[in-house]
Amino acid sequence: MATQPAIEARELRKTYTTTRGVFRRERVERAALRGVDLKIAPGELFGLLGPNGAGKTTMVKIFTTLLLPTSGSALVLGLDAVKEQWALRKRIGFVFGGERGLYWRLSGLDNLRYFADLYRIPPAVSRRRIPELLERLGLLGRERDRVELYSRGMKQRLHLARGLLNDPDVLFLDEPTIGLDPVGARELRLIVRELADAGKTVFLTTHYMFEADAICDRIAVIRDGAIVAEGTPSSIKTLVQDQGIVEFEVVGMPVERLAGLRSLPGVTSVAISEHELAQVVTVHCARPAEVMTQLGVILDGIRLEKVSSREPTLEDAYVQLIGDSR
Amino acid sequence: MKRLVLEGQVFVRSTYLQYVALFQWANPQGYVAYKVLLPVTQILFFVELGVYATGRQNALYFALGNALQLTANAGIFGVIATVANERQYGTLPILLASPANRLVTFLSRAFVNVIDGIATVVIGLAVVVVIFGLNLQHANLLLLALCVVVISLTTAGLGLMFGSIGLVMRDAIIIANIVYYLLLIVCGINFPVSRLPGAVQVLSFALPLTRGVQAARDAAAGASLGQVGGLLAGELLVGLSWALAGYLLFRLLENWARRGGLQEAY
Ligand SMILES: Nc1ncnc2c1ncn2[C@@H]1O[C@H](COP(=O)(O)OP(=O)(O)OP(=O)(O)O)[C@@H](O)[C@H]1O
Ligand SMILES: [Mg+2]
Repeated sequence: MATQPAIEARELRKTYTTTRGVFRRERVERAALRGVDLKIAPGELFGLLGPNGAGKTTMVKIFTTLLLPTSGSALVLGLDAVKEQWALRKRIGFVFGGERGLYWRLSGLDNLRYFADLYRIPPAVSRRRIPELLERLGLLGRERDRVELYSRGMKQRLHLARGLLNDPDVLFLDEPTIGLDPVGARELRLIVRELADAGKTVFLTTHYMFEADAICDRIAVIRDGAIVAEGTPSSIKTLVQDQGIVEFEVVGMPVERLAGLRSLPGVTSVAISEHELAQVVTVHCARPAEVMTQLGVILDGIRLEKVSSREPTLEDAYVQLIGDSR
Repeated sequence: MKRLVLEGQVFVRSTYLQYVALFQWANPQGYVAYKVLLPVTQILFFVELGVYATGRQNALYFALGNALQLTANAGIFGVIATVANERQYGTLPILLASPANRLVTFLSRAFVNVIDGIATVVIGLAVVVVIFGLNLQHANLLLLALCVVVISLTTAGLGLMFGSIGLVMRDAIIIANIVYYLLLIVCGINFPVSRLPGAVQVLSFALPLTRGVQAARDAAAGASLGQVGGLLAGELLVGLSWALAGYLLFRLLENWARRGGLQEAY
């Protein structure tokens, strides 16, 4: 092992215990993480992708020392998030999505000053760093307005500025683009990508596969507290190789002619459905482009109409990975 | 030395920012109106009640006592409001995940309210001087001022306890209301402590105000520091104990939150 991972989870488990009812107290246990193993290299932009309730926030809370795991270990920069929380807190930054977590009556500038004091950042340093962050996050010019006057996008960028006040080596972002319009979300993603390019390790959670696809170096898909897939966005897409589709319509074709299609490499199924006078043929395959080039050869002399094809997307992969839990 | 000045600057700044961020009054007019109206109504009510029950000659006893007790308004409700606002803004997780020194952060939450408490009592005393003709000619004013500072500190100490409870209980304000009125009854504000049943007296002396208000009454009558020093020391000790208990509870809740409780606060 060459370098120490920036973030590491070993057999990480969290079971929440809550009580229900006032008179007849009933204990309810809910497993939010069921033995998660992860290693994230320094400088990596890592995306944790999963549906509601999968355990993303739980994981972020554990890494940011807000929550104790039930068992297993969580290490950030080699520091134990359970026992070495004081050393760790100085070196990480975190942003939880949404508008909460800012003092609305203070200006953006005063919010940053306040949190800088909380992190005991020397005034000489914060005097320099705060304007830098305001500039970088596009808040310069509005920094003296009260936060209650900010748009959601501005609040979210202010959150990120706050998370960067201590110049952390590792940054945790829990659904940072939630509630942002497409432009605002895109701006924020670009900033996050820049941060990773500048050498920071970023751990990002999201519901949106295109978000993960667009900026992450590596992705893990979490479902029901367990990692069900992990790798680069393109390697995860190969999990659903057979989800490419070629579709066309023919009129009055003998069904035997389709045997050739079935025998093409990468084809997993060929289905026919009647559509008025025509037949609609749907071919599921790994490489739609290849099937397209062979169509004319195999179905020589037959008139094909409405030919279309679609490559597998990360969304298909995601839906397949997540789908069967619903 | 330079370091100390820096630390001082940081403390002053964050106290000021906290004041703007978390203090309940958005505009100064509202604040002043409240700070004048509250003492006038509370003092009038209890003075009239007391006069009705015991006679006109005791009016000043009630007036002075109630003016002093007003500090609890800032010390208890102020601290609770501070915590409730923190919860409403969702800033608590940020606080708890920061490396900030817990004791300093905790105590600084009460600091603004101590100053507010002093201001409240000063306004209350002014009301008593103007309306009830309290004569402070023979009073030991410096000592009286010291007493006001001390009871503002001690009631805020008790307030910190409720601030911690407020972290997990939305209804901490109800308990605080009960305690506020309890202070009016058992701390020598409207009844001399010596007239209370023995068991209640134990409670009286475990609460702030009891000794401090006695010291302030003595100071208003011209006592010297030597005569009331013991009372003030005791008062401080009680306030400190409550603040300490509040701090310990805060740390306990902080750990509990890490185990997955304290959802309320997030
Ligand atoms: N404090 C808590 N007490 C009890 N159960 C909890 C607590 N926090 C989370 N859970 C449960 O743990 C599971 C995982 O929740 P978590 O918030 O980590 O999911 P998530 O992936 O962040 O979801 P979302 O996308 O909706 O934010 C859920 O079933 C949730 O109900
Ligand atoms: Mg979440």
